[in-house]
This record gives sequence, structure tokens and C-alpha cells, in this order.
Amino acid sequence: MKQIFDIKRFGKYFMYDLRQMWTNNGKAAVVIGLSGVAFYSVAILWYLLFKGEWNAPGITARAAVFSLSLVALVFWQSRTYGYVTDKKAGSDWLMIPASVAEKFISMMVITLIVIPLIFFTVYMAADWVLSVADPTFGTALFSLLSSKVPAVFESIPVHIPGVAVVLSFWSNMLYFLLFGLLLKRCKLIGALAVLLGIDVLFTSILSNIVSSIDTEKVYSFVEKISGADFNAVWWCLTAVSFLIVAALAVCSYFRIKTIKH
Amino acid sequence: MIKVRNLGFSYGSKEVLKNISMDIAGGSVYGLLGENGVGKTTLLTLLCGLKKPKEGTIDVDGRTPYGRKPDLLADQYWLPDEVSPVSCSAMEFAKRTGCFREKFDIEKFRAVMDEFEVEVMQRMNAMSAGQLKKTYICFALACNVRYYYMDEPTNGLDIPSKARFRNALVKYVPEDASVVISTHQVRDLENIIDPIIILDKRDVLLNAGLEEISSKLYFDYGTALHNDALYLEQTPGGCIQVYPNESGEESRVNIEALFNAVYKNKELIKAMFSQKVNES
Repeated sequence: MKQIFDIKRFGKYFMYDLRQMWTNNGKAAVVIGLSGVAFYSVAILWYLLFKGEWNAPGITARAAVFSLSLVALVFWQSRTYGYVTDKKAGSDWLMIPASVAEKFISMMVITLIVIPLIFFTVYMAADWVLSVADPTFGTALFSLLSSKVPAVFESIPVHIPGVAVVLSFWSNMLYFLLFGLLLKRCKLIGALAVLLGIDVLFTSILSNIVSSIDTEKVYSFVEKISGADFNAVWWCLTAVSFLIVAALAVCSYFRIKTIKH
Repeated sequence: MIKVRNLGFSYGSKEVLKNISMDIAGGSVYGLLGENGVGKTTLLTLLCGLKKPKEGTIDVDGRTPYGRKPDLLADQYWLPDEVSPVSCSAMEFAKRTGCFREKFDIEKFRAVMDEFEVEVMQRMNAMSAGQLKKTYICFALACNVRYYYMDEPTNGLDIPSKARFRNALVKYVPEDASVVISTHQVRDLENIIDPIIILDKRDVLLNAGLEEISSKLYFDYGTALHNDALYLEQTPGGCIQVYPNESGEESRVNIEALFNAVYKNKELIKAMFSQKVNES
């Protein structure tokens, strides 16, 4: 059992992994977290130069930048542990005296908890500082998220479980992490290409299915289920998301276990 | 004790190692020699568990290297030919990575670094290739492990550092440790490596200690030519000849001449040293 998991050794390895993450790619989470500040600076400069007035970007633009930053963070996961496939750095990593399970758990904690936590903390803190410092900036994104978003969710007749949102975010993080572990080169492009391939495949399958169904039947089916409880459907989708997260995690584990240099 | 039995490995359809069997005992510094491409580095990476054997087995005191179990990983050190420049100081690297090995000695690391004249607080990504290699060598020696696998450790070292490496190896490697060094620079390690393993494509041509080698082969540094010479090399002011030692006289083994003699007379040398290993 000690060869599979030892809490003391895991503690040592986790601290090692955290330091490695910070020196390798961890700073990227901070940089992406500061993209809101960068956007604010550019917007202010733009207005000052071309309109001669001080004007902070509006909430829609800020929300869009936040969403793009989130996408950038997800894409970046293809690089966080990308060194594992490098002959020199990857060999050093494989030879660290910790078990596969310990390396895997540490990788999951860092990818799914630590990195998002760094990003959200930096992003929201920087946004809050700007909202305090500049009266034209408006309300901080964090207070908007905590007050307006639940209201938006409540206005929708269908209940979207919070866990589904988290699982969906995690599955994206794990997908790009897995491609970082699988591919030696062009990690991000490879991951995106496969994603595009899957998308094309599913779209063509779905369009074939839809085109083969009689539209009258579809309308009558929609009418029938219009009053149905969609919450059950959401919980099913949550379960599917959970399965996707689990499958991606299992693939990452076996990749770590079988990687050779 | 490391037991290698009928080991085979290939890169795709290109077969590199086939039917390799040998024993590697503790308390010795093995020199792993062979021509380019015979699979020396591949063999070392198989021994430390970076690769999975396609055929055969490797047994390290009852453990399989490819299993990469923490206790075996903590008991071995793999020093590749090219090492990675970590973005922290040598001391930080040693503390960060050494904590996984029970017998790691930070004071020993400091002492060996002093001997190699490398600054412990210098950042590793700002070091020259030679300094970086020396840092990894110092770290390896401070780990106090039982199995060392070193691929061309003297590559990139300056002349004084090669001597320091020899001294450090003698001084700091634990007595019961097995060290396997793959090298082409045999002169750098001439007085250190014993036994010598000479690898050929799909075969181990020789796995013997210097005493056994000098009892079976005679290294003649004189000028008189010998008819039975297995290998002859002209040198300034004389020549080196290797021939079967029929008189039982002792001679100093010249590893380069030995290597060439073995490669020129593969079957004869194999028969002479009878490469059979215990199948158990």
C-alpha cells in the first residue's frame, strides 16, 4: 500500500509539484488573471488618445474579456504539464521517487483547484481594486457575479445545477491537460484539431438523424414535452459531465503510468 | 544485484537489443562500452525504468524498474547525457529534489560542489553546460543511492573536472552501490571502471573484471611484434598488442585496445570469457 500512496511522501511531492508549477507555467495563471487590468489600461488609453476623455470599459466588454481569459486559462492547460513529454525534463519528472497515484492526484489538485483559484483570485482582486480606484469603472465583477448571476439563473425555468457548471469547466481543463500529456509538439493545435474533428463528426451524425426524422413528429414531441420537468434532464447532463471528467482523468492517469523516454 | 535476462528492445521495427543477459553486482563501477547505436543508452534507460522491455526481464533486487515504484526510484539515480537547466539555484534544486531520498546528504552536496568549484547559489539555467553537468553529478553523489546509471558523465567536463569526477566517484559513492557508466571516453575513466561490459548489437561480448581480463589477455606495450596478436595498434615510440595470455603474466589493461580487440574477434573473445549467466 505504501508503494501506491503514502501521505507523507504525497505532501513532499505536492509541495515539489507546486513549486515546479510556479516556476514553469504557474505565473501564466497570474498573467491571464491580470488580463482584465490590461484591457482596462488599453481602453482608458484609447479613450484618452482618440476622444480626450476618461472612460472605463462597460460591463459587457468586461464580461467578454473575463470569458476570453477563462478560455485562455483552459487552453493553457495543454502547457502546464507539457514538460512531461520532453525527454530531459520528462525523464527527471518520471524519476522523482513518488508513486503514479501521488503524481496523478497532485496533478489533478493543481489543475482543477489551484490554478483556477489563482486565476479567479487575481482576476477578481484586480477588478475590485479598479472598481474602488476608478468611479467610472462601475461595480466589481465579483459582486455582480454574486448578486446578478443567481437572479439570472432563477429567472430561467430550468434549474442549472452549480455542480454542472464546475464539471463542465473541469472537463475542458482536463481535455487540454490530457493533450498536453499526450502530444510532444503542437499540443494546443492538436487538442483544438481533435475537438474540431469531434464537433464535425457529431454535427454530421446529428444532422443526418434530424433530417431523417419526420418534422411533424418532432413538433408533436416538442409539444408533448413542453410542460415536462427539465431538471431531470439537467441532472442527466451533470451525470454525463461527471463521466467525461472521470474518463479524462483516467486517461491522464494511464498516460502518466505508461509514458516512456 | 541486477539480473538482466533475455532482454529485447526495439524502436518500432528497428531492433536495438536482443537476447541480452547479464548480472550487475553491488560494490562495482561497471563500464558499459559499445559502438554508436548498439543500445547503451537504451539499456541504461531500461535499467532505470524509463522504458519498458519488449522481451525478457530486468530484476533489481526483486523489483521491476518499469513498475517505477517509489522505493526503487528512491534507491537509484539516472544521470542522462544531456541534463535540463532548471530555473532555480543549485542549492534550491538539491533541497527540492533531494528530500525524496532518505539518505540524501545536503552537506555532502555542498562538499562535492566545492570540490568541483561550482557555486551552490548559482541559478542552474544560467550555468554553462559543464557546470550544469557537474551540478547533477554532485547531486547524484549526494543522493547516496544503491544504483547509479550514468550516460556519458564526463561529456562536457573540462580536464580538471574529469579528474575530480574520478576522485569524487571513489570518495563519495557508497561501498555497496552499483554504478553503470556508459562512455566512449574510456581514458577519462580508465582507473575507475571495473568490470567492463562490451555491448554489441544483440549481444554482450564481454562482461568481466579487469583481473579476469588480464589473466586471459596480455597487453604488450613493447616493440617486438607478436604473431598471435588479436589487435595491434601503432603508438608513438612503440605499439600496443593484445594477445591471449598463455604465460599467465600480469599486464595493465588498456581499455581502448581491449575494446578494439573484442570487436575484431567477437566469437573468440566470447568463447574465452564464456558469457553464460545463471538463468535463475
